[in-house]
Amino acid sequence: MEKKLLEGIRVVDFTTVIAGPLITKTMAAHGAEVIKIERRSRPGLFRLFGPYKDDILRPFNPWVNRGGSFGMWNTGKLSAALNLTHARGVEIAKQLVALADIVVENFAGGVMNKMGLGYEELKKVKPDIIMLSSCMQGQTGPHSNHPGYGTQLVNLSGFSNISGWPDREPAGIGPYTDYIAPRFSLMAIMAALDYRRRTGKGQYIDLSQYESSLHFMAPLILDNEVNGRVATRMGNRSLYAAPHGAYPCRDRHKDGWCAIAVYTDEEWESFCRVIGNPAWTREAKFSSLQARRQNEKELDRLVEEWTINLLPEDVTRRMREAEVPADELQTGDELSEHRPQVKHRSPYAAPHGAYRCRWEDRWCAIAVYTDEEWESFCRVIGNPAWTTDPRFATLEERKENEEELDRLIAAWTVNHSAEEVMSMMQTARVAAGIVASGEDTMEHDPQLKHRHLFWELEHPEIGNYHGVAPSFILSKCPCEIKRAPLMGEHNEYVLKEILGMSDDEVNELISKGVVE
Amino acid sequence: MKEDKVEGMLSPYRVLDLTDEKGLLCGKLLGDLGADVIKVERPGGDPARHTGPFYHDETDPEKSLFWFAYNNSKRGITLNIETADGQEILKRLIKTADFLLESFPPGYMDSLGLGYSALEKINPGLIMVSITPFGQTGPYKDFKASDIILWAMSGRMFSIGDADRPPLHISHHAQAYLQAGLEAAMAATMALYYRQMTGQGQQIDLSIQAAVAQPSNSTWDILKATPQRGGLGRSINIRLTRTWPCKDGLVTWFFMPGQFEGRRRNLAFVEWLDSKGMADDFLKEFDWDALDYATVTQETMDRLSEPTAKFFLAHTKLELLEGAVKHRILFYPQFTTTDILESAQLAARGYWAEMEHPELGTTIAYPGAFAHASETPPRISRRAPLIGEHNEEIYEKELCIPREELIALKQAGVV
Repeated sequence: MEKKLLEGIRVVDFTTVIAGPLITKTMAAHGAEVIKIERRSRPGLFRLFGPYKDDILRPFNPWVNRGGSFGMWNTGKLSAALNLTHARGVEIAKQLVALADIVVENFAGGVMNKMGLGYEELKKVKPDIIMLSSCMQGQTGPHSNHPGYGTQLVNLSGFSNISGWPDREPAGIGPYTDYIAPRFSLMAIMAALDYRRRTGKGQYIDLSQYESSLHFMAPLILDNEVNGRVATRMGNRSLYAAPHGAYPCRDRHKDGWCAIAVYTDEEWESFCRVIGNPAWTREAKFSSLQARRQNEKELDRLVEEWTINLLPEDVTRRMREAEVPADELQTGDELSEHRPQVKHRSPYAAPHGAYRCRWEDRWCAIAVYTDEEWESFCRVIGNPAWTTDPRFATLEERKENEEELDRLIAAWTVNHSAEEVMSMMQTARVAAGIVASGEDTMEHDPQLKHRHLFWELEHPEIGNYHGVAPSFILSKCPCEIKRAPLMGEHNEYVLKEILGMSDDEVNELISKGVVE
Repeated sequence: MKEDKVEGMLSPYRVLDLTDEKGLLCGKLLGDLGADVIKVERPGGDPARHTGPFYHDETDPEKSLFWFAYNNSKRGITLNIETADGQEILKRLIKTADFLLESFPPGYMDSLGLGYSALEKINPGLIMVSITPFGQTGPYKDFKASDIILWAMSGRMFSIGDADRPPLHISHHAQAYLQAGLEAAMAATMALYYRQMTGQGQQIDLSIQAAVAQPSNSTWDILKATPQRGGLGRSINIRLTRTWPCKDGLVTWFFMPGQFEGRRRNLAFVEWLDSKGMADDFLKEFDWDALDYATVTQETMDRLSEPTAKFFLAHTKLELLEGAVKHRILFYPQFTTTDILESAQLAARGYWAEMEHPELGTTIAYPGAFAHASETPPRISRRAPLIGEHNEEIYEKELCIPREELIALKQAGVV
């Protein structure tokens, strides 16, 4: 049996929920001994979090071993149930740290210090310990002790603001930062481990989930800093047009919207003519595309003042007569059948989006960048007459007529299953993929099966369930995914085998509630 | 550009970065950790240089802000690895390298005689990081992909968006590629540990689809159910407001059910409203233990919502953020990039890294160290390289290729 990558590395794991546990989960998958310190009397949130085996819908369920999320994010770890509000509990934790290489925690900033388990304390018992703290906003600064979860941090880090349809509120994207920060954390720990190997020195790593996640926003932050542009949910927004977006129109039934896109100066002039050349259109701040982009907020408000008095179809008709790209947006129930997606746009590709396919709520994503791909795409859908329409001849024109293009495509995709669309497109070398559900990825995707991403596990209380392997395959170091631990399952191993306690000592700790 | 030498966690190591946009972040992060990262671009520059946004909106391969963001902490050379001379030069560099990063289609490096089995013979300790949309092998290995395709096929798009509209992915630049680049850097440091223990390098076969699929949620696994887009995970019969307008933007908030986290959080919120004189009796006397979205009436929700909506409308994002911190409430306003740039917390931690761009006559502040570290903090060591900026430094000074030969290579389109 070959040595596993992290064999011999011991990790004391104080983490909870997602952003912490994912760090140590990957370490466990590659052979580290990860000892999770947790409390039966006050279990971490995910111990109590569904979905539960047998769908017990009570949201907070006392059966700490049945939570599916915990089971998935804590594969391969050991569990020691230790009450850290007891001085003796803290002492035992320190004894364990003295025999460990790495400590990981993701409490709110400062909590470990308060428990007497801060880096300075731990360094005393293990001078070369590597400790990583991962909290929302870092261990220093005015917001350091603010608790939170990824579902909130996506707001602060700007991801919510750029996710969703421009005519609606931001779409919930889940705790996206929870999947970014742990990768930064593990990378830092591994690099620190190499530094320790070379120099004998451990260190303390203070990782702010906020700061690390902002690297995923970097181009947009720079765009704001340098060009003054504030990125929003793009939807049909493009970097290359203004006005550009969905504008509210007169209330007919409920919601009425019209999308308008003005790319060129000629289109801008036509646009101004259509809206009756009001004085503001001649102002210098709207005289060029760049100026319009810079003053887009005000521009949008002024455009809205005009659109709000008209029906969406009137706006669309008038704009089109003047050759300004525009289209009525479909909302609510109108959209549910056979309607194209209104906006899901990339400035570099058209068609680009998720298209409704046969059967309920089945979709296929398609992205066509080059003219060659467009030709292949047309061949796949049988070269219907509309594909030769000059309005779709080039990427630029396809972008301009994207609403209509999408409608025509959806009329074709809806007659095929998502899998058929993907397969036909890929055979013709057009990028396409089904919008996979949990079932699709876990049960049906042959590529993920081939890579053995999901491991079938057997758990004493959950029964059969799956663990997730890392996304990378190391040619010489296979990973191994084992089930998550029951609460306190490894108390004996930790106390007796690692710390060398006697049965009497352990029993006393249990009777005092130090070990749970 | 001068680089001040500071000991980093990965200072002794060299990285050759042949990736395109799918893997650029990987080398940047290894560079932030102190490694000597050399970005190897095709002559004329990497295609990712044509990705916007651009400095002052000027479409120019030397002005891509996207390029700047993910290629700082690297030096840059140009090399055509499709020529025999180019391959020879690359192999010479590989002998000096610890990591080679690439994101070509599966089989491409092999076709050039630069596959792992060939490179391993030149440098047995080499860690070759290969990033592809679906992996090096398997039925989908040759599938074409883009950001949206990878979100779709990883299962992550299905649940994002509204029930009456198509599934969504995050707008703007390709988040899937950033996840892959980050995961690749993590995997590379893990393989480094193994090499130091055993002397052996290896190939890392990273699938972007699998990277994006990491957060696979357990709803299907445990319940064999597929949650609908836009819901709370199960059907409720009431209108539930989750995004609220405030004075200058949006905030996200909803009263969380449940006796533990939920009650604590809701009580703290009401206390906050009360401290501003904006909590009514209904809110103050509400029994949070009894809140269950499966049974609560619309009337109750409306009565909870009314003072909440008024409270948000009366405050700015910043006031609400400061209040949330003060009252320890799990709640954040929806920041735009402007709010991020103005964040007091980021400023207090010295987050922004100022990099000089002498050729633009300006200084740009970048998102800085991804973490603080007591011994060897990560840091941006230099701004992104210009096209072929370090050709002379590396080809002439380090590899000692004579100038005449270099000119000939240039004429032949090799560098």
